[in-house]
Amino acid sequence: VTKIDNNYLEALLGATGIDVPEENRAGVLAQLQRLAKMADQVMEFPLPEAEEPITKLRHE
Amino acid sequence: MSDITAMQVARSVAAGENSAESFTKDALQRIGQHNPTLNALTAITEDRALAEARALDACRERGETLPPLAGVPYVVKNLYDVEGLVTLAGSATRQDCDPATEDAPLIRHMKKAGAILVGTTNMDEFACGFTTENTHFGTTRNPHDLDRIAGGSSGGSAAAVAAGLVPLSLGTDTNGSIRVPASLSGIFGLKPTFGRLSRRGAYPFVASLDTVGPFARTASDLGLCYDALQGPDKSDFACAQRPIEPVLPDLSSSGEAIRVGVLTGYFDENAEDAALAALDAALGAFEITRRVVLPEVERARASASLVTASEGAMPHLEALRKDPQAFDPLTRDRFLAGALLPAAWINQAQRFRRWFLGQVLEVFDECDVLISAATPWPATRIGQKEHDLKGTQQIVARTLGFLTQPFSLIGLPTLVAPVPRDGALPVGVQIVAAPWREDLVFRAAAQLERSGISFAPVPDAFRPREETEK
Repeated sequence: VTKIDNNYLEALLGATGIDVPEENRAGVLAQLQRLAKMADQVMEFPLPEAEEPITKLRHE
Repeated sequence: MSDITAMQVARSVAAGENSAESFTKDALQRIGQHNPTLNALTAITEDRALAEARALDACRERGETLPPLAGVPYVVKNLYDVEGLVTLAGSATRQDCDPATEDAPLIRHMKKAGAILVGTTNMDEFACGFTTENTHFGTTRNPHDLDRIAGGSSGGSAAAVAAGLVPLSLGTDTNGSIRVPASLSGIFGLKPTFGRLSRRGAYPFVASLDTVGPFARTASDLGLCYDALQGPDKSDFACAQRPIEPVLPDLSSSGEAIRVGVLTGYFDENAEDAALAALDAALGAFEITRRVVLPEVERARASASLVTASEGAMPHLEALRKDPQAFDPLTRDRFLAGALLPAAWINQAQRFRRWFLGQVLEVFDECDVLISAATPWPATRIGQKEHDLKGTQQIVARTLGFLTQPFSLIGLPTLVAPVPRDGALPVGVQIVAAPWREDLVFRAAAQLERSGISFAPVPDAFRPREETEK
């Protein structure tokens, strides 16, 4: 399971140049942790190797 | 009349029985009377509306043939560009932006069809939400119970139609923002195939999921409006260069029996009894039904959420860097988190998306349409954060999209039809078809309507006293 903690959040904020006020960090961290759980669901699914990402949804 | 349909208005104006101006003034009067209670509209375009109506009446007096929506008042979600108005997209951060210099293409389509724009409507900030509880512009109330939400993010557009202020409105749908408010407000709503209608001039949320579409109180009105909105637009990268494929001509005939796949598994597990009862009632309209279990729907919803979080945050990255506190607190944390997601997660979600699309398309070999509850439950109370679903407390603002999001991920056309319930709040069913088969979802909705299962009565509180006393 992906570990998303304050250290990870600090590193991401530094990399993207976003300064989140101290009082909002808990809310952002909670959102990240929620999304991480969803990412785990998707990442663990054994997709066929040849399955390419949809970069632009275009129905025939 | 609050419950007059778009079709009745257009016929009346074309026949010279009533003027477009009189219908427009009626709509403006209803808005003036009820909007302070509902908070559905954020701007009223009275001068423009009266000018458009008078121009249309002048056309009729000259003996010209009037277009199909002649004199029909309508409103649009306040993320559509309307010439002379600031495109708010539900955000206080945009209040100081310059006004739009031209109408969005869909508004031009509506004008060409003779419809009269009377205002713009409330929404969740940047279309990011399912409740239309907007910190800056207030909450839109549900016409069926003023203590409850109308749904979102196109809640103002849904409430305006449900209350009979106007017969038609336009919204947008990324993860369910037309379908959720249609279900909770008890009206018809259409999310077309991704790429069917031009999104230019509609403030973007998630470019690879965003769609635009109409609300109405009858399937015929919905079809009439949808047909007027169609047409290719090369300036929207997603808009397909397809000819107009009108649905209205086929709505009045029953045609061949529709093969209906009833979605079970995930869709049953994430809907409470009231929503499942609405679905059961709807199935009574169809001769051929079979149970269908789609694979990995939970992961499809997760993929949609990841794509939404990442893509949805990017347009706001600069503003988030400069002044995160200017955002609605409800959306700010989501956007900030979305801007920080690892690329590997998004890439895998996009790979899963292709796989899931292939799986679902196979089902349409044996079914014309799929059907499920549109939302897990009817409208919840304003301010209610959690709701019990089969013994588990769920977050309302998130869970309302559980049943709609999987089809957003793969861009399928989906229509919500209302199922009113005696003495209880309405809740809708969603009808899903293969890409470009809007004709099938409309045929199924018309069948529900003919069977007397789907209809959208204007609540008594929004009808003139003389109408309720009849």
